Amino acid sequence: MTQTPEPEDSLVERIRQGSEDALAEYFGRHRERLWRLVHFRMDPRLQGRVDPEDVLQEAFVDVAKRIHIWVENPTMPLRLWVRLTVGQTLIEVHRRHLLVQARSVEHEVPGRLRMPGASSVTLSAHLAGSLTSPSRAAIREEAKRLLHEAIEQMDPIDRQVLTMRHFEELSNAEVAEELGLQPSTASARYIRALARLKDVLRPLDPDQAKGPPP
Amino acid sequence: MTEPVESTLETLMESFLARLRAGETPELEQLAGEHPEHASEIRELFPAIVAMERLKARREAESGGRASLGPHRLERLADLRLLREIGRGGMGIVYEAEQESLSRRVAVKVLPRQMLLDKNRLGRFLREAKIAARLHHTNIVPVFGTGEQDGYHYYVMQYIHGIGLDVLLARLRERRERHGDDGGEDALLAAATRALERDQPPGAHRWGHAVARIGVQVADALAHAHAQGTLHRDVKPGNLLLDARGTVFVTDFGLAKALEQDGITVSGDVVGTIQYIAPEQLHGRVDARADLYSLGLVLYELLTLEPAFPPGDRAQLLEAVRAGQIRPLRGLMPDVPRDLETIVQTAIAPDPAHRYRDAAALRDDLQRFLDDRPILARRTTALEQLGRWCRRNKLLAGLTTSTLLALLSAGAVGWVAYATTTGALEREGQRANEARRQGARAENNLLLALRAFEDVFDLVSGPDVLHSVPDDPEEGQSAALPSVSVSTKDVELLQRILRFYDLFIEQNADNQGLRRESAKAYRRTGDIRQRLGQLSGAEEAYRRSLTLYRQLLGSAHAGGVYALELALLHNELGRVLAATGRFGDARAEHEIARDLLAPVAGEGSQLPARLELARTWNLLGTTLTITRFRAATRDERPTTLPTSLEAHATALEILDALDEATRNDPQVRLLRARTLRLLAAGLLRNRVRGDARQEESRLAESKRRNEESVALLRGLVQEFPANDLYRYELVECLSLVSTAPFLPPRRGTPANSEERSAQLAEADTRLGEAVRLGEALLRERPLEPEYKAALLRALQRLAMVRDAQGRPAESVPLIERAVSLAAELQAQFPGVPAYQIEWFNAQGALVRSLERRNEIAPAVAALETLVAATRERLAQQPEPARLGLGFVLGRHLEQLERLLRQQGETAKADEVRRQLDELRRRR
Repeated sequence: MTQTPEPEDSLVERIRQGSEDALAEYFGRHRERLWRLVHFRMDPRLQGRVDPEDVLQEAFVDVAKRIHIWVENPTMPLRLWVRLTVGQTLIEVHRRHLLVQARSVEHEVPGRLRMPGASSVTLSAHLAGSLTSPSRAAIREEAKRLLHEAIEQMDPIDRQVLTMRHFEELSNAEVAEELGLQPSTASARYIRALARLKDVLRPLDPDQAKGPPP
Repeated sequence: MTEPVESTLETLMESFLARLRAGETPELEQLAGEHPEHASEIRELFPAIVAMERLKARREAESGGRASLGPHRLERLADLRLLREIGRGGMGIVYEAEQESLSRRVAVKVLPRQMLLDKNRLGRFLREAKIAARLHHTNIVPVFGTGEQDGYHYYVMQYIHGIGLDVLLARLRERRERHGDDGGEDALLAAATRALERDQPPGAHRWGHAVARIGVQVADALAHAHAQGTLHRDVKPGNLLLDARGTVFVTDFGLAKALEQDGITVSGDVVGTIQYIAPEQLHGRVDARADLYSLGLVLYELLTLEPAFPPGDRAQLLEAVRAGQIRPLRGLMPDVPRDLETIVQTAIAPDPAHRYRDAAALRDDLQRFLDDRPILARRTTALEQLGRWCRRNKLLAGLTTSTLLALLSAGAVGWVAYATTTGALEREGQRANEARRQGARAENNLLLALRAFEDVFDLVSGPDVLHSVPDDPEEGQSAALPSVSVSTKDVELLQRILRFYDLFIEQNADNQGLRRESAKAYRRTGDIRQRLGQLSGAEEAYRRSLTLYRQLLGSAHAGGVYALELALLHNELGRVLAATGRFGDARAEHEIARDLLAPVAGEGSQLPARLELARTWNLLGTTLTITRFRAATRDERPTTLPTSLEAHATALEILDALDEATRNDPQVRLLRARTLRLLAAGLLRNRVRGDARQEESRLAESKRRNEESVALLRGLVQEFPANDLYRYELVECLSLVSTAPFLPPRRGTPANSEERSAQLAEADTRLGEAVRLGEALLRERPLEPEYKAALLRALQRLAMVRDAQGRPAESVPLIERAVSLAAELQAQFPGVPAYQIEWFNAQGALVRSLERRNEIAPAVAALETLVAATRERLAQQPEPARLGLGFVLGRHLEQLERLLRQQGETAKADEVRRQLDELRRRR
């Protein structure tokens, strides 16, 4: 017997009615993207110490605990609300591990959500981090500097748009919604960010450095 | 209000992203063709999209240095039901699983998807897994097979009920911190420890025996694998499993190699493993002894409970591994059994040649230790240790005064003993046998001391490990180029050594047995002096060395067995002569070298001789450029000398004639890259007048040669990023751009401005890269004079390009940097004329650039500096060189006068005029 997955609308409706199973199912469906959110926004200092998987588990508990707040007062789509809650959990995790004020971890976050932002540090750590092999250690330093410069020069919102679209695999509409922008503005910012990166990324990506992109 | 419709470009990007994520690789050009209205965005921006997606994929595959399957969760693979995660390393995640078809418990290592996207790497992985599956040994975890599902590759192993030595170490450390309180320890660990420590009374030696038992098993496993031709390459605590009976299992054979190569994916893993990697592995050279080294480090850590290289900053760790900075075992564990200490220290010797020759030898020595029999490894003497220490720590800056003194006294003792015993022999002629024995011992002492000095010489003038030719390391040094920095402090230390060396040579030069050593020592003295910029001292040393060699050879004119050494000597002498402006004499020396090498450097002869011959042709070519020019200007007779282009082409022919394997040798590639650059430079210089077509093909060929050279060097840099010499050569190569477009367009020939600006943009990019690389290089090796000179040349050229592009504001800082570099060089090496000339050039360029920007006051100041320096130099010059310099000074003064008048400083201008008149009168 094959089962067609339950439509999202009906799943959300069941959540409204207080079904915890539905919430678990919903969370499970969005796991991949939420994992990306956690993985990407995690402070580089925590990489390797904290498994995104554990954060997600903790986040699910938080979501389940607070879902009644959303049910009573759904100011935003559930998808967005869940992301926000996961972001909150991540801030908690940061606070616990880094013993810092929450404010400093949720720096430069434009838009409506309070969660660790895509700072230039996290972004360049992610990008340059993919070059850590012994044969590349030296090139990396220089590449990192260039990359860092390019990222530094980016508008913080452009940076946010770029990372959300790639690292969290959000669509333009979703990005716009989350950041409170017009879709056309969000798209324009994405294009601008790509343009800034195009020259820097090419030599950084070893596959591309060898030949033309596919 | 209606929501603005998303642009079609946005729609295109979304669908492009979706296709990428679905695993497609959309063809950009095709896409651009389908959407001509967005073609330029597709070409420009979409590659960045691809790059971002790739980076994301890689990043997800390695969370914080550990493998990760990204956002996916696995529950089963084929007939394997995954039960729990039991470990996570850089290269994969290990699960305990049940193989349902055989209902047996197995361990499965799952590799992140991105790791094997590359077909070649996948092939390698499967091959290595197959080889690993063929290894049958009590101490090797059996591999059952491999599989693939949804892009996840995995391999299935026997499930070992045990713990990794990394876990064992962590627990032991914990236990130590709790002051030996064994409470809460798990049963497995307790049983394993008991098994390993069996038959040993409690005490300091008991743990030593346990560690040796682990070592015997691993070494035996390695011996077995090595005999099958498989290296492990990643021996580390996490790859060694210990079960309750005290049996150790080695796992992950060959996996490191399978996944390494282009070095992208093991990234995270390297952070973990680099702690156990042998220094030569950093250069990509691995043999069985690298595994022994890694095992040695594991034993070291088991004994001391401290990692030999504490994890930490990557760069520091790399440096520590490279330099072999390991704290002596005894320092951390004062009661370590002496023989066990010797065994471990032998296994972890930084130079593979000093380690056990194979795993069986290590195993047998460990067994001897366990059996209380004498071991075979020899403790190194203090002097040997010192020597090795010197070799490793290539920077003389690391030489402390006390070490140096120790060296000096060791040398002095040897020498004194030698002198007195030979003296005694001659004077008394009695107790001959005894004395001969004494003499022999003294001579040995002396040779030992000499060898210690060799190490010191290696420090400053010696070859990088990569440059030695393996089949004859000693002579291989010849073609190598030095790559160690020398600081002023080092210079002082060196001077002291040199004085001793000179004394030594003086006393022993007549002794037949030591004459060759002396000749060599003089040659090396010359090398160091040359490096220090003491050109006349270097010349003297080389000439003395030559005399000694000639004495050795008697009346024979051929080089005989010394041909290569002699050729090298003549070449170095030639370089010194060229550096002091005597190009004709230099050419003569290179010609001698060429004739010496001709009989020994034919096809099929030893590589070092052939390489030296190629180098000789290059050196000849460089001197020919100038001597031909002089011959052409002075003599009416047409010159019969070959052109420099012919010389470099000959060098290239020699290199091309090498067989393919040899041509792959990094040293050969470097030499080839350099030859190509010299050729390209020669082609650029040899302007063909009047024939536009020939002129064009000349430029095209130069460019082609240059590109080939750049490509070679990029490859070398990528393979050996630790070797700064390759990066230096790349800087030189990138700096070589045609200067034609820099010049303002000539009158009468309307310059194709579009073409010109494209050429300028290209030059800008290349030189920009050269400057960046040069700066990075200099940060690493701040004192290396040639690196500094290369950077300053790149800076000057880039400034010229910027000027030509109409961006003078951006050129001045570049030139200022060049001037300050040149000033540093001049101060550091006052005896090298070339560096003085660099300064004059740079300062002149600064004046021109400032004037072009209409910054007259700074231009005047810079010009005054230049005039003062020229005057000073003029005063120092010997008579024949004065004329040209006086001419230069005259031009500077004219320019200064003009600028001063422009500024309205009439009085000062008049004074300059007076000086100018006086100068002309004198002339």
